[in-house]
Amino acid sequence: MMKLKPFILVSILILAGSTACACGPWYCSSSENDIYRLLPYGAEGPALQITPDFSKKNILLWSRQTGCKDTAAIRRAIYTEWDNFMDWEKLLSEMRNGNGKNTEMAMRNAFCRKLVENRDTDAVRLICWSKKYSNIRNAQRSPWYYNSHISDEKQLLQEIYSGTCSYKPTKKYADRYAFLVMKCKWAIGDDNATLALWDKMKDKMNGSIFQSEAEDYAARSLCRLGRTDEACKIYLRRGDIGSVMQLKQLKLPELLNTLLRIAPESPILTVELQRVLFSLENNPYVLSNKISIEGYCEDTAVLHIAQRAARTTVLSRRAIWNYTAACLLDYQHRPKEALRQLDGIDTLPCDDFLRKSIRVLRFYLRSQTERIDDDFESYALSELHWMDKELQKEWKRLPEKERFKLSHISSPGGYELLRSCFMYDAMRRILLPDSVGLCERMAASGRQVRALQLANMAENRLFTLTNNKVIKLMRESDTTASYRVNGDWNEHPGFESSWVYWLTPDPDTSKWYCGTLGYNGHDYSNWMFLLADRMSAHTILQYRQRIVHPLDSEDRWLNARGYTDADYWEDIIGTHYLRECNYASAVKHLKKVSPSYQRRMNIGFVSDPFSYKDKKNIADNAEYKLHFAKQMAELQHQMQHGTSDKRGLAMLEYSIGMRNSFDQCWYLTTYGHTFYEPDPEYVSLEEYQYALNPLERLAVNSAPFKAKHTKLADSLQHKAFTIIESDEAKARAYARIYMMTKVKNEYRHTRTGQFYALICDGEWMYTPYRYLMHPHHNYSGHESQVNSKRQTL
Amino acid sequence: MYRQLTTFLVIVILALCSCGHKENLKTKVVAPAHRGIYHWKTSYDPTEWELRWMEEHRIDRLYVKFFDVAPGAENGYDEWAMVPVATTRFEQPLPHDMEVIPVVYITVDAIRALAESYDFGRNYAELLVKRIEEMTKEHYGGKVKEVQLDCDWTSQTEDVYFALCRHVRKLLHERGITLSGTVRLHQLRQLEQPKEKEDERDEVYVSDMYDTERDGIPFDRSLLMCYNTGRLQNSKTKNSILDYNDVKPYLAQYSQHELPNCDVAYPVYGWGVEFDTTGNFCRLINSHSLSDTTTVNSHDRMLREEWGETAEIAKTQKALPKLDKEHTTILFHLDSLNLSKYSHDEIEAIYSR
Repeated sequence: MMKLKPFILVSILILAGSTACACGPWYCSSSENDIYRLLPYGAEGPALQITPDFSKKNILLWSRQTGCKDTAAIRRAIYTEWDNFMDWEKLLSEMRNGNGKNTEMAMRNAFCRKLVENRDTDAVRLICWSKKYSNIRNAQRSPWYYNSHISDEKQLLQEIYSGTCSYKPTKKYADRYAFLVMKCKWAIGDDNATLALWDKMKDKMNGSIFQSEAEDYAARSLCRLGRTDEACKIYLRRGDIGSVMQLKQLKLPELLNTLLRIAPESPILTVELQRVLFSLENNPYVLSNKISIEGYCEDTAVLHIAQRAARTTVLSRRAIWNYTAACLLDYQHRPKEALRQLDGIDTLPCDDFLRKSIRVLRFYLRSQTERIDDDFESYALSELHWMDKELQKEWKRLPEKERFKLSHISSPGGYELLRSCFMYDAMRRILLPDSVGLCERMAASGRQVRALQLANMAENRLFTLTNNKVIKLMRESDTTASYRVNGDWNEHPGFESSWVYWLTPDPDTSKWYCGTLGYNGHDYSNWMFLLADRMSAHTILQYRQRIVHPLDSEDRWLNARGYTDADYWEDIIGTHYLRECNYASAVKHLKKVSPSYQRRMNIGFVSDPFSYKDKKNIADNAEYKLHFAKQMAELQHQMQHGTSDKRGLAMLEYSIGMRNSFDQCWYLTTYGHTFYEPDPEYVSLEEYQYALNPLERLAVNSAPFKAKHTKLADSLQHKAFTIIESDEAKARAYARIYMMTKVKNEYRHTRTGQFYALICDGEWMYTPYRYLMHPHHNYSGHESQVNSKRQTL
Repeated sequence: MYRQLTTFLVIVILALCSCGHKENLKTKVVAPAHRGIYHWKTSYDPTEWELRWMEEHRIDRLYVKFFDVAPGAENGYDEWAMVPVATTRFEQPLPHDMEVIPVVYITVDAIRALAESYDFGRNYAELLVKRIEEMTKEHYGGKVKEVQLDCDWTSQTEDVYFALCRHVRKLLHERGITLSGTVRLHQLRQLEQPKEKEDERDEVYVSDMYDTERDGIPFDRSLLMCYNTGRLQNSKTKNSILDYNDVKPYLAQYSQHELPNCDVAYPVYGWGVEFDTTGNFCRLINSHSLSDTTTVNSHDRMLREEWGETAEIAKTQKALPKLDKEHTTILFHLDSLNLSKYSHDEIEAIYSR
């Protein structure tokens, strides 16, 4: 395995070579944030699960009834493999007649030990029968089972039924026995008797965990008797929409109509509508392509039902239907109609959560449709103030671990997000998405600094809420990156700003562990950065100045909710100045970027920005950008002063540096690289929006600069040769760009020409870019031979 | 006088020849002890006509297909190598005035799936026997004396299928029931061929795995299926249901030692086989639809209507070696629309030989 490591490493490097990025960016699409909320996140979850936690409740009840605190032991005894070791029937016999092998085995399990010690024969008797019942049901579920009236299984069930009926347990187990009796009757197929039993026992079971389960068996019997409407009512009461859909063979619109008819005030309706909305927001292809996933399609049909219900249904539900209709209209890209749908909704009764949802939705719809002016900006800020307060309340309500729980990994290309924070989710959705996001619209209306401030808050509000501990909204693919597990979250010594940490639950210990990706994945991984990347250095500098010197209370409020790290912003400003070829200004800002910050960048660039076409490396890449900026500024100075030869040579060097900073040393002017080459003539906002990934977006952003300055570099190079006067300087200049044949033929009389004539043994040495054609030499051979000759001379 | 003498001699010679022929037939054909018929539908609901037909022809054995066994994975049961499918629904109780023999058809794909599993037939034999028992209890009431397994096994699946059969037979014997199994004509040839000698280790392995004695067919009774003898999809085939010329080569290989206690089944059904003008097989047309001109009349199609011909059945019966006295002649299958194509005498002729 060890031998394979270098190969694996090399393979990864080769694969990684196609694209590269400086600390990101990773794509955090805010369009994946949810805004349609009738219920808090998770409330819609259990709708299709009938009793997901029955076994948990049952174990806890056993614990209370027997006094055994070891719930794991109870689980093993009741639900898992313990039957392989112990015969419950024999244990019961041994409890009556004296110890034996099964009693010995029982003593190894805390729960069984408790039963033996307490001589709890009622419990053991019940477990015996329950286990037998389960085994029979397993056999009946087999495809080989033949459902005859007199099957062995039914006879055994009858025996259990008779035994259970005639047994008189202590009161604490009465419900358990009653439930078993009902299950037996149902499994035998005697549905009328099952229903009669249910009628007899339902009042006695009131409040018991078995009541709901027993009711489910009653519903199953009703189904078998063809009384499906009655069964549906039970399923609806239990929230088992899946069974209703199956029983009635309903599609979604039909289901909603049925629910409206038979249970217009059922809370299940809200749950089901939330599931529809959740499905819409998370499966963008479902409705747009009219493809049914889990039956959720036909958005127009659902919209019509919602609009009709909003007009006609019971008053207490109208707000829900109005809200749903507005969401569906927005989903169909009809935000103005959606806004109108919300008219008058504030006077309708609804709960606090929905009231907030309505306000958020209205803000979202207005931010898409209204003209961006001072009034709107003022409205938007007031809404954001309110949302932020609500976010803080939500945050405080969340358990410590839940705050960091990344809800789920979505489909490839998606990312984990904190859905449990509705206000944060909604804030991102309102502010960030392409073209329709408020930040984009603000930037387009000339409020670029405000747009950056808002984008910064949308991306980094949680970061500031966690005292600058970075929570990264991770993409699934990031999990493939290697990381270190640093230990228990609570014991973690501390966090460095800008480093990515994430939490993961350990299934064995139930502890949360904190890991780090080991590189800075935060700073260049978000929409705010992508927005800033499209802005000029001057605009970002303005924003930086308002971080340092806020103009008003809004600036201060937004700064407190954004990522204002000086290193981060100075590096971006400096890089943008490099992109704009304003090297003196770049020096001014890059100077302020601390070396420790530069070391955290996950790309270490060593390419020499002044190598001409051949990619030479530099020995020390510390302060790589700053060093380059200084050299370029110095060259700019030399281009203005000194002899014409010096000015010309400086210009040549300057042109080489300029071209390289956009090409092989792209890291000097951007934060990511891809082989995607946008056409600089046609780069536009549309192209930016349709770029496939953030790296391509970066390429679109820098394409005009690259085109402009590459052209400029070419003309400067050409101009340099016109400025240079002496042959000696010209020979040096041609040698600099490897035009050796020219040096040899036309400038042999110069010292430079003589030098190269001496060191070049063969004609091939004059053609540095044809060295690959020579059978015995390669690039490094050429370099070393030239160098050795140089030393000899 | 001379002329009269000649005529007399001719008559005597003819009479002698005739007697000799009869004697020869007697050695080969023994009238069956039992008359049987298959019920091969997914719903047991015989018509009045069918019930009367059985009575008229004194049918005393009814072979009823109970269910098929197919691969689990193909039927939504990944965890099961094979599962019962197409279980017969019993709309009427099975008759008590005749012996009922439950039949289970096992697809060869199911046997292949079984070969892939680690069951080696033991558990599935138990499941199969238990299911037959449950169905018998539910719909017959009385105890069956015989169970029949039907499978189009091949040389590749023979070992696994026979291993399953041995397990089934063992379980049935414990219940006092015999096992019969169908043998198709091509399988006769398979039985004739000597087993390839495997190396000793493999022999032990197979024996351990399948708990099998490798020699001998694992049935108490065999049923030779004398139908579907020709190539259905070949347009040159004269009659794919039964053609004596197709049967003859197989019977030449037949020896009584290979199939002890052999019953025989003959076809009393028909269908239409449709080909295009170039002779490519298009489809099979149910005999019920053959009279429907809209279904079968087409300019660019050729139709081969074929039936189990009584003449071919008679020739086959004659060619068969001597069968034991307790053997059963079985017809395939109980369907009034097919059976009504045969006269009472034709059916009686088949049963009488």
